[in-house]
Amino acid sequence: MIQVKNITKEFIKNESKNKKISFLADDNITFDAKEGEIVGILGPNGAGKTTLLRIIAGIMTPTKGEVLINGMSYDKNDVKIKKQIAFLSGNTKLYKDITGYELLKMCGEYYQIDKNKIDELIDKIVKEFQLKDFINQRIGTLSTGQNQRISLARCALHSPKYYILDEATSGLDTILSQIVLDFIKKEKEKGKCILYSTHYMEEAENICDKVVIINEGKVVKIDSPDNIKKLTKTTNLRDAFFNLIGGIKNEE
Amino acid sequence: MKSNIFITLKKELRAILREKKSLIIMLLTPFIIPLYFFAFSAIFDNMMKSDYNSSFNEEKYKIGINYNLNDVEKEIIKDLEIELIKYEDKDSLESAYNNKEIVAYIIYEDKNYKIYLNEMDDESSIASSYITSYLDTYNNYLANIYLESIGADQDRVYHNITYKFETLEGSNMMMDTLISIGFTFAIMTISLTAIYTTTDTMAGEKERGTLETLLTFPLKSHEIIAGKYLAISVSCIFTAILDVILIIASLVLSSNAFEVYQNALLNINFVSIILALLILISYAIFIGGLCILVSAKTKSYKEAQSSLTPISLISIIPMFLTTAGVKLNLGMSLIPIISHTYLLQNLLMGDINILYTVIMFITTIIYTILIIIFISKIYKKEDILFQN
Repeated sequence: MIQVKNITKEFIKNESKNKKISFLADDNITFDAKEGEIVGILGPNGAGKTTLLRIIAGIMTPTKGEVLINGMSYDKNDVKIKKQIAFLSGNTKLYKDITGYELLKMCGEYYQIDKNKIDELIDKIVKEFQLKDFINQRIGTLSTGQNQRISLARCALHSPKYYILDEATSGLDTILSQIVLDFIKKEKEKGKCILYSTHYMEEAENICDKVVIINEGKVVKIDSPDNIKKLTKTTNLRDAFFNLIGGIKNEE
Repeated sequence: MKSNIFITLKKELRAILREKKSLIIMLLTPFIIPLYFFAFSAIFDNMMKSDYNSSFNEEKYKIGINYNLNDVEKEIIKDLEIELIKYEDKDSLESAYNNKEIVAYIIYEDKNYKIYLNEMDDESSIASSYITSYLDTYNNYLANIYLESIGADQDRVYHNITYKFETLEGSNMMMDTLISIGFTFAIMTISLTAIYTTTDTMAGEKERGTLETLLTFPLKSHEIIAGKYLAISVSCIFTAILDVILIIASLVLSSNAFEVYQNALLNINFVSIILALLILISYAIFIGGLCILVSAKTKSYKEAQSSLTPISLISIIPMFLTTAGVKLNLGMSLIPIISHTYLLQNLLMGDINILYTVIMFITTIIYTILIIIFISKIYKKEDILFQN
């Protein structure tokens, strides 16, 4: 289980040469995500989603609060936790000067997968994500879709228990988005726990068991899409979202 | 299981070797060294030869006199680079000197020769030594006649002792300059390799957005830094090895082909080659750490390059100190870059100072370890890892 407990993240911003201001990207955020559950993290731009997911993935530290993954905190179990999670975001780019195979091999080595099993695992993942035609090409020469499939393969290679996916379908066309969504559903069926941040309300409505709506760093609502629709008396999650965050102006 | 440091090292080396610009800097810039040695050896050689030839071809220094030369005097000045021209009186001599027809003049009165010249003037100054030689020889001739007339043994007067000059190998100013600049080039090629690979490895990783991917893997910040540092150092060491091979080859070939190396003491043997290699490797290890330190906070290629450029300029400082005649001392041996360059130059000229060499190795290791520990600590900071 992923437990997010009272996470607060404060940043200091240089407004001018001599003036610094502090602001809270995340303010006392608490929720949890269980195995076999897809939890959507929704919020307008600048709501604090990416910062929150970076903290959950262990690449940023919170100012206050803690994240427990399978009951462990990053303070003492950083490496142990990272072996169990996969983090994918628009900012986690791939190395362009190596081939897909070399990337997967390197990932396998970082995750300390047995040397003899790495190739076996790569073969399996190549079949699963249909990478055979371009696995030996340099990543820099691949299309956006092929890149995204390699990225997903990179995440799935070490069979993580927890996926943290930040805007994983952002900028992808319908077909490529569907590849990502199918992957998420499959992993959920395997009992994996998935945190999924997106701008696309329809996607969240379709795949999430629970959504955490964040606005200006604070949790606005945590519930299932159906319950949120009922509560806001709306017919879809998009309308419910605007209702909760206070309209289109806020989203802009 | 491979260690995370080794995996990161492999990843970085692969990136460096697949990047054309890194390869060019690493492999091709050292070839400036043989080009430099051959070109400048040829230039210095020509300068030396033209100086030597000009000493034979030059016109004789014209010196005015107010007396007639006898046969003996005429015979003496035949072998000297002076031509004595007779003028009527002192006024005409003065006027000839002022009109630059002559560089000096001699007035003879009552068995006394008075020499008029300006010692601050180059030509007059050189002519004065020939005039002295002419008058001393003539004086000796007159002394010989007297000794003969009184039946004295001339050998007892003139040849009580004998002496002879023998040429020794040693310092040769032109060769010292060539070696000094040659090693400055070697140091610069290593600095360039360090600067370029560091820019790509540190700022490039941030700019390409792959750092965040790397941070998601189960590895510690010190493992990332150690892997990156080792990759940069290995690249620099590769350049250093190439530099040593090219310097030694250039010196051996040049010393056989050009006269400028004549009588110069070149200390090229197995020990000196290994020691030169170790000094350059120690420089490579230090400069790799220094470059990582400077570039750790940079967020883009551009920012990293402008921050790292001064490092390539720092490596020229020892050359200026050498030119100014500053010798290596205990204090300077504590300063990396300066100690590395000085020890390399001294080494090939046969001057190995064990104490300074040991101090240089120890300080390089200490400074580098401190730098790596410091960067590993700051590399956890979010303002360094994330661009915004």
